[in-house]
Amino acid sequence: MKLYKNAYLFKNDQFVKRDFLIDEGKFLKIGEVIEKNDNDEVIDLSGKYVYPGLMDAHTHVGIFQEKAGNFAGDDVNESTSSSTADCRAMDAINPFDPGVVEAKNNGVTTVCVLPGSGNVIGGEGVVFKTNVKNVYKERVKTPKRIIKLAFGWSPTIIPRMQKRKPLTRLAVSAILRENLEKAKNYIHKEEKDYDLSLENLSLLLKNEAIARIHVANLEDIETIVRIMKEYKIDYVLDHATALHTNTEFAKSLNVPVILGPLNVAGKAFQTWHLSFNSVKDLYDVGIDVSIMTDAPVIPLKLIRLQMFFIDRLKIKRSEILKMFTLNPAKVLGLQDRLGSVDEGKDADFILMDGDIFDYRSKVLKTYINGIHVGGEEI
Amino acid sequence: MKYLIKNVEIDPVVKEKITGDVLIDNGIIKKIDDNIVEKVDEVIDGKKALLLPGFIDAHSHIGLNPEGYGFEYDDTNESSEPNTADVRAVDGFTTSDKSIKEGARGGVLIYCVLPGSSNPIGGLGFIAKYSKSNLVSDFILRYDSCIKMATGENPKRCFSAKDKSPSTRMGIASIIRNYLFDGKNYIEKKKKSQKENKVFTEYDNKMEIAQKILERKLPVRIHCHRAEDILFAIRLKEEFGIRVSIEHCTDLIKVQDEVKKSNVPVMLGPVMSSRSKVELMDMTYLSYKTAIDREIPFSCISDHPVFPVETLRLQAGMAINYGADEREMLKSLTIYPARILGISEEYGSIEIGKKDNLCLWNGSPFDSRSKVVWNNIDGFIN
Repeated sequence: MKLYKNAYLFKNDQFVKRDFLIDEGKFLKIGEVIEKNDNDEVIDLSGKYVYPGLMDAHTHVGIFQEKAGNFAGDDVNESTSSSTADCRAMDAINPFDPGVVEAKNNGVTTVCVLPGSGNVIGGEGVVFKTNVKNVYKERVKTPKRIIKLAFGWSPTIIPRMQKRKPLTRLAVSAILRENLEKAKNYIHKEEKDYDLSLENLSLLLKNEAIARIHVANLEDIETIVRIMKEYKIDYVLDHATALHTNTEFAKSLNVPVILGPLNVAGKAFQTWHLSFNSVKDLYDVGIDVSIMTDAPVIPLKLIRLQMFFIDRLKIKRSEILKMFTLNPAKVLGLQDRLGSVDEGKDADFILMDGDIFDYRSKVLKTYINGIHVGGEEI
Repeated sequence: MKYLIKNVEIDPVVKEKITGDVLIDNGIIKKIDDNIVEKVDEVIDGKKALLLPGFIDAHSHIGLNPEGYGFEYDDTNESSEPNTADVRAVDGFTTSDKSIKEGARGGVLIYCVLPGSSNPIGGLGFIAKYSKSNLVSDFILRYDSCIKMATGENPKRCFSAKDKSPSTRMGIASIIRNYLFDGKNYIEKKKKSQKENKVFTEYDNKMEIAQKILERKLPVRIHCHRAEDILFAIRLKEEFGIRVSIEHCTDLIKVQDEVKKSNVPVMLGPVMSSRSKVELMDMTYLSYKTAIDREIPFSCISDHPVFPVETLRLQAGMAINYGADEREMLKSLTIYPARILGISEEYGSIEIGKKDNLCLWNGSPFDSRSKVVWNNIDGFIN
């Protein structure tokens, strides 16, 4: 067992000195003073700061590769049809994408990778830790499987160029309803041929999967909520760039929101109202906010940039940190295993030479399952 | 909330004008009298202005291509295939469209929003009521209120350009007919599986809508300009026993006998635009007078953004200029569209028991110099 001593942990917006013991990749014990047992290896962390590994529940790393040319490493949208429920992000992930490696070295320990937003039904997402080699074997299994949907104008962009359905938001809804209706028929059919797309869509109707919905403006959020309620599907709102413009409505939804990316140019009318203040608007009405980089839109190595800007809103820092750790873990249903430095959880943590909210501080070392896997120091 | 509008000239539309007060409680008109004394939350001094019901634009595309947003945000026509019965205009409605507020300035507080006319079977329309909210749900008065279909030049142009069917009026008619026949088969299939006590596993959204059309639950709004298209729409109504209204009805004068006999309502307009295509050759403001003279149920429509909804009242004014009766033209913006759209129990006139959908005018709405000075949603307008 490894005993780490004298680290600063960030608890309730205060730094406290703690020892922690790691066994079989988990935090076994955390306390003010933990006595060494005979076999324990002791590591002194005096003057160092320990934070939970950062998480991003909405990225495209590995399937939309960095430094791989425009075409060769771009597998993010299977934009040949509007419904590709049979596609899996897992099948396209390059674990050696520099985006993944740099994420690991800059403190990101777990990511969820989703297909892009080019299709109404994009396909299945996957969660893995950034030291992964074989995604299938080493992926983090979530209690519910993850199906990516895209709503509003985004899934019309490519079809408009290809002159096919959906050209409008009207048809985006219709396509989703049409496919859900097919899945419903499929579930009830006594004799049927196995159909991968319909199997995956059935998971949504049977509540065995959660819908991760790319959606931007308020009207489209209303439409997708209407459809999700009609079909009784569990969902999370991703991007949700205009949700903060009606906080009363936002609150009434009672769903987690993954907001972002925030420091990008607002080209579209859908991102007209988005600003860093949006985070506070939603946080203040009690919504579980997570922040996404949408990597590689913002590379994961720059994940802390948004943290610094959100810090200017004067939200409690421990709450901001949750937006990058525990809240994304909750979205994925992994809050009992990931997202904080607590006894019983996976020992995914980062070692820093200062306060994480100070831009001068570095991630010295990144640990996944208690093992040193990277950092800025090497 | 209880409020009192005092000292106004009330035009109930369906009765003679009176001068007096109107009491509204919780959104419902409770009393109309020459002097009402009652404890209320707010008193509005009308200063002898003219109180009218908010106008109803029965055929509009407002919100589907918000003005100034450009073609990238145009959700009017899903022109990818000729039959898109399962798309809904409500799913493309944008509450921040500038023309919504301008429409209210022109006295229009209710609109039926329809998909465009590029497809023989376009999709479902909904009825919206003006709101200051940014939520679509605060606008929705009737979800799935009707289905839009289109004949003539528009679908022909849209699909022949792609070398696809339909490229003729025959093709358009066959697509619509086949859809309704498929609907009949679908109903039979459903009945059969019910009889055999089986779970029906062939649910289809388009067919569900066809069923509603055939069961007369969903009125069909058919875009027709030319005489032959108007006659086709009337034939379709008779063949399938469905509920039909004729949109635009440019050639009304030529086929007035047939229209009168068939008893279909006509949504007349827009005339306040140019003759941008062949089928508008005989477009005239005289159509309104014809509808009135022949007692054909009609309404005056903007087809926004073909011409801006704010000026709907001026189109009615032009019809008066061409000999249409002023009272009737007022009805064509209020009680007539309310009846055709099936909302006349709540809207379209100022009567006890109806909802407060009200505008206060400083003059006749057909006079371009008049203004809405107050409405029940915005309050006083500067």
